[in-house]
Formats: sequence, C-alpha cells, structure tokens
Amino acid sequence: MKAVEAREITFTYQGQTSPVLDRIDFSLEAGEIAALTGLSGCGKSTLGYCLCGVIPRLIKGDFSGEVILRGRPGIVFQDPDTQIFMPSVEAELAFGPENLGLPRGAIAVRIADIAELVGINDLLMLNPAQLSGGQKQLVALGGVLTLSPDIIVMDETLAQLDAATQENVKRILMTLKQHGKAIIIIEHDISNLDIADQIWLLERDGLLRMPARKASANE
Amino acid sequence: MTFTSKLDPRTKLFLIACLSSSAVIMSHWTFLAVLFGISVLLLLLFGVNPWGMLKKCKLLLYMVLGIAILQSIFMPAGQAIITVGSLKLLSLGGLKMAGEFILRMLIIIASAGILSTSSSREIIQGLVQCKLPYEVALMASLGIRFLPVFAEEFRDTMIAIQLRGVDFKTLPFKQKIEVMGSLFQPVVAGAIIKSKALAMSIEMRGFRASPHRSSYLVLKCRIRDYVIMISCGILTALMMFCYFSI
Amino acid sequence: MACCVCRLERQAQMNKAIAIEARNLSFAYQTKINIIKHLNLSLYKGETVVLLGANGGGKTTLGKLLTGILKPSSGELLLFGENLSMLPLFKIGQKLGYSFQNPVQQLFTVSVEEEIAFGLKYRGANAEEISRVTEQLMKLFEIEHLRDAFPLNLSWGEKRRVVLASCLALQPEYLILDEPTTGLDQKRIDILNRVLNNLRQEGVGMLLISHNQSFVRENAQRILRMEKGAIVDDLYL
Ligand SMILES: Nc1ncnc2c1ncn2[C@@H]1O[C@H](COP(=O)(O)OP(=O)(O)OP(=O)(O)O)[C@@H](O)[C@H]1O
Ligand SMILES: Nc1ncnc2c1ncn2[C@@H]1O[C@H](COP(=O)(O)OP(=O)(O)OP(=O)(O)O)[C@@H](O)[C@H]1O
Ligand SMILES: [Mg+2]
Ligand SMILES: [Mg+2]
Repeated sequence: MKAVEAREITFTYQGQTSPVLDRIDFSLEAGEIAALTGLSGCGKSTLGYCLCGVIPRLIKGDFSGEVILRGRPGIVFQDPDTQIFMPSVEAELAFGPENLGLPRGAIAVRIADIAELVGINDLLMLNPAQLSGGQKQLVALGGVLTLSPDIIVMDETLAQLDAATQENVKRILMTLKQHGKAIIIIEHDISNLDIADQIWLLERDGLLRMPARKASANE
Repeated sequence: MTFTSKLDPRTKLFLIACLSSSAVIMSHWTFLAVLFGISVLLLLLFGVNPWGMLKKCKLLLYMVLGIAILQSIFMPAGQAIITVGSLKLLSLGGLKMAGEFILRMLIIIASAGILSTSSSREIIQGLVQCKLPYEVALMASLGIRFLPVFAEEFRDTMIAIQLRGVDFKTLPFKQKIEVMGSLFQPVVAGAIIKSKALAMSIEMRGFRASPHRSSYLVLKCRIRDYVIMISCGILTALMMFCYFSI
Repeated sequence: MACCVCRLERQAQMNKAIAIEARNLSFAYQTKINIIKHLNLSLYKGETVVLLGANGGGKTTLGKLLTGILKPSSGELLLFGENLSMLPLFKIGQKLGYSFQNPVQQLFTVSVEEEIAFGLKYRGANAEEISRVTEQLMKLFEIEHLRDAFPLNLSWGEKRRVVLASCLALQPEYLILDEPTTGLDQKRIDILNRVLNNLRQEGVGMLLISHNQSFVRENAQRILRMEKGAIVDDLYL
C-alpha cells in the first residue's frame, strides 16, 4: 500500500520569484525507508514541509500539486530548538499522546518505552533548554515517536548525534520499518544511506531516483 | 525544594490573584506597604531570593522608575517640594503617587516570582483544571514565555556582535544608533519566525487532532492547599474591610 | 621508527607557541553540576585539534569557555598569554573566530552581505576592502545568489556558510568551530576542507568539534576525546 503519494508539487516561498520545488513527484510504500539528499539549499526541508502538510497550511507561499497521506504524519524538524517547547522532557514526550486523548496509563507506557528506546531515560526530568545539541535532537525525535506516526519525516536528525547514537537511531528506524511505517530521512552523510530502500536526489530539474545499494557503492 | 514550592499551582494562582487584585484596588500607601511586606515574606517562604529577582528585572524596574518620575512631575498635587519658577517640579502628592505606583508594580513582580516556582506545565494544568480551555492556557503560557525568550535572543545577539570583534560601548554615537536601528528588524522578524515555527511544531504533534484531550499530569489539592487558600481569602477580605472602612 | 617520528613531533610541539591554555578548569551551569571537571589543556598556534566525544560530554561547553562566552567556575584560562576572564568579549572576538553549533544564534543583520561585512565595517575597514573581502567569501562559499536574502530565512546549511564566512572575514588567529559540517553537503564540506587547509598553511590554529568521521579524518592533526567533562584521550596523528 502506498503510504505517501505526491504529484506535481510546486512551491514558491512568499517574496521569492522562482520556485524552490518544481513539479516534484514521488511515492513511498508503507514499510519502506527513503533517503532524501541533495545540495544544501536545494529544498529538502521544504519538501519535508510539503510532505507532512506544514506547507501549504502554515507557511505562506505559492503551492500547487497534491500530497496524499494514508496515515498520521510526524516530522522531526531540522532545528530542535524550534521544535521543543515544553518545560520538561517528560512533558515534551507527553504532548503528542495527550493531544490524541490517550488515557494516562497508556501515555506513561509510551513515554517509558520511547525514552528507553531513544536513550533519554536520564533526561526525563530535565528542562530541554539545558540539554546539549545532540540530546535536543533525541528529545525532538522522542516527542514525535510518542505520537506513533505512520509516516515519519526526519530532517537531518542524525547530523548532531555521535556514532553510537546514530547506529541506535538507525536500528530504531529499521524496527519501525518492520512495523510498516513509511520513513523519509533527509541526510547528507553517505554512510547513513545504507538503511534506505530508495534514495532520492533532489536537483534543480526534479527528483532523481537511485536504487539504494548501487548509489552508495558508486559514491 | 521548600515546603511551599510543592504547593498546588492553583493555590499559588489564588494567592497571587488575592495579592495583585488587592494591590490594584487599594490605593493607600500604608496598605500597599503592608501588602509589599507580605509579598516579600511570601517570596522568602517560597525560596525565591527577592534581591536576585530584582536584579533579573532591572530593565523593567528602570522603566517603572521612569514612569513614576514622569507621573510625579506631570501630575503635581499637594505641597510643592521642588519648584522651578512657577512650575512645581516635585510635589508631595506626586511623590506619594509615584511611590504607590512603584509599590504596586513591585507587588505584581513579586507575584510573578511566586508563580515562577511552578513550571509552566503545572500552571497550564492548574488553569485547565479550573475549567479554562487548554488552548487558551497553552497560548497564555507561551505568550508569557515570549518575554524571556526575547531577552535571551537579545543577549545572544549582543554576544554575537562582540564575537565579531566589535565593541558596542566605544562605537561613535552615530554608529551606535546605526547598529541599534539595524538590529531592530532582524530581532523582531526573528521572533516572528520563531513563533511561527512553534505553531508548526504544536500543530504537527496532533494538537486539536482529536476532540478530546487527555492529560498526563493531574493535580490534586491537598489539605494544606485548602487551608492556605481559605486563610488567604479571609485575610484579603479583612484587609479590604479595613481599607474601605477607613 | 613510528615512535621516533612521534617523539620528534612532540619536540616540535614543545617549541610551538601556545594559543589557548586551560589550567584546572571547572565549570557548572546554574544547575550546579560540574560539567567540566579540573581540565588541563594546551592548544598550540598553527595546530588543528579535533574534539570528539559522545553527546552531552561537554564539548560545546568547553568551546564556549575557551571563547569567553561562559565564565569558568574555577581555574584559569589564557588566550595568547593573557588572562581570558579579564578580556572583554570583543577583544577575544578580534583574535578568535567562533561558530555556534546552531548557526541561528549568530545571525543578526538584514542581509547575507551585511552579515559578512558587519565586523569589518564597525572595526573601521574601508569600503573597498569590505566589498573585496565580502565578495570573495560569498563566492568561495557559494552564497553569492543569496547576498540580499534575509539570513534567518535561509536553510540550515546556507546559514552555516554565512556564519563561517562572517568569521573568516575577520581573519582570526585561532578558530573554534562547533560542528561546522551540519547542513552541508559533501561538495560544500570539500570546500570547507580546502579553506581550512589554506588557513592551516597560513599558520592559523583551530579547534574543530565534529561527529562527521570523514571531516575529522581530513583535518585532524591531534585528536582529543572528551567524556563526562574530562579529556580522556589526547593523541597526535
Ligand atoms: N521562509 C523562506 N523564505 C524565503 N526563502 C526561503 C525560506 N525558507 C527557505 N528558503 C529558501 O529556499 C531554499 C530551500 O531551503 P530548504 O530549507 O528547503 O533547503 P535544504 O535543502 O533543506 O537545505 P539544507 O541542507 O541546508 O538544510 C533555500 O535557498 C532557502 O534560502
Ligand atoms: N544551559 C545549560 N544548563 C544546564 N546544563 C546544561 C546547559 N547546557 C548544557 N548542559 C548540560 O551540559 C552537558 C554538556 O553539554 P554540551 O552541550 O557541552 O555537550 P556536547 O558535548 O556539546 O554534546 P553534543 O555532541 O550533543 O552537542 C550536558 O549534559 C547538558 O545536559
Ligand atoms: Mg534543510
Ligand atoms: Mg555540542
């Protein structure tokens, strides 16, 4: 089943003259991981916004095209400072499931599970403002995972993590994939593309699809 | 953690509601001085250092002081203390009024200090359990947080400027004004960008996705909370009675 | 043989002038927990040091201490022989280039061009020099097309390049870069590598904090590993 389908996405930021994204098409099956890569400033984060509906709902500009999502989206933004807003890590993780109206017991279980999985158990009672850059990225990821999204977009979430933590997050993603989640990671580091089933290269004239293994071998 | 800072946030909300509404209603400096004394005492009880607080809101205090001085100059009343020609520069009435204004502001600042011993999450939950809609409570708390965030942003900017090797203090006056003017737009635009990003984050985490919102944190009032609330209510009523019967 | 070379290099290090020195440095945030614990460290002029370590180990904190943004709780810091805690931040900024882990914190003007020119402008450079340096750096980091863009609207990697260009415009004697590769694609990392290599040839010392292994391999002459606020490994390559 296709979890995400995008047709002819075109977007121009307000005040800009040329579009950042120009008629982009793609689709992703549930249970697949796609890695989106491309030069800095080519529009990867913008594509991520379109994919989960932030564009056109919350960012002004000229949008056309269609995005079909089968399931709940969750996005980890590139800048964790703008994502995290609760005064404690625990509250941050609770925010999503609270919005879904889950009972307290279930929320407690989710927080415990995700904190354990992501490795932020020791941070639960801390104020996120007092965390290191990498720790903030983990908390941002945790806050999205407790929402239990079906479609996950991660915007360079691995970038500020140390090697061991990167491996752990990649393991988590493989598990989520087995549970039928559709995952899109935005990533520059070639060594992290090994978990992807598809590699999408975003360029001026569109999205270039590359078979996963060959691409990482070539580079 | 002192005994008092573990109080239910609703108790604290009630306390400061009593304090600040009394401060607004009563306009007699002896009553205000008593209220001020009480609020300092409360701050100490809650484990907040009043002196440290004063230092933190230095800028706000200067503003209050400035307004007070203007007030006493432009609304002279009663006996003149300093006169320039026929102009009453400082009068007893004006001075009294300025003093009352300062006391009032100090009481309100102290109330904020009492509230700051609870995290914003507890306060939101307190308001929600008082039947305020969650959205309103969240927006209010984010709005209140906006000021410190703004201050922090400004501090970051000052650090960034100095790291470029520029000494703001010794710049010629013209350039100082130029820099200050040029900072205005980025700081404001930056704050707007930040708040938009915040809205994005809130929305993408399922806010309003379901008609019913649950809460992981649940507050329970204990006996001491009720005792404090009731005695605070009685005290306030007594003070009001004294004030109006004078 | 290898050992011999190693010793010779050590000897050479001994003769090198110290750029930054930390003596028994400790630091705690308001939370009162010591994040940096009795740390001793000498960083030399013209040497590239890479600081590695797990998330939350204290790398950023150390970088900010060495730049004077944070003040040590105890211990001593020397910058080119001067007591760093006595120096006002702008004096430090005239010698040291620092880039934050999150580039947003460092952008405060209305356009990319002004951002890069800011330091030069208010330190009395003439218009000609300002425009020469700015143009050169914008070209180098491939941000010419963004010259009029509002810095806070840029993508993360574009912001990063603007910040790096603004640092380098001032020709610092020492550089501290906190995770400078985040948001940069391989092409731009290659450019950064080239730039850093040129600076190295000119004798500029630097402390690079990074998790990017190929970037580390490309630049490191000496590797420090940090764990829970202490340097646990100090290795010359
Ligand atoms: N709010 C905005 N207004 C105007 N232009 C914008 C805005 N946000 C982004 N842009 C521009 O759109 C382009 C694409 O930005 P985007 O953030 O999508 O890039 P990216 O591929 O994620 O880059 P990076 O790898 O550096 O994060 C950039 O050139 C950027 O300057
Ligand atoms: N403002 C702060 N207040 C209190 N504690 C803080 C603050 N900033 C950081 N810390 C704590 O200090 C420790 C070190 O943080 P630091 O940012 O220096 O780590 P780091 O090595 O740079 O990690 P990363 O690789 O994730 O960037 C962390 O445990 C963090 O929780
Ligand atoms: Mg991006
Ligand atoms: Mg760091």
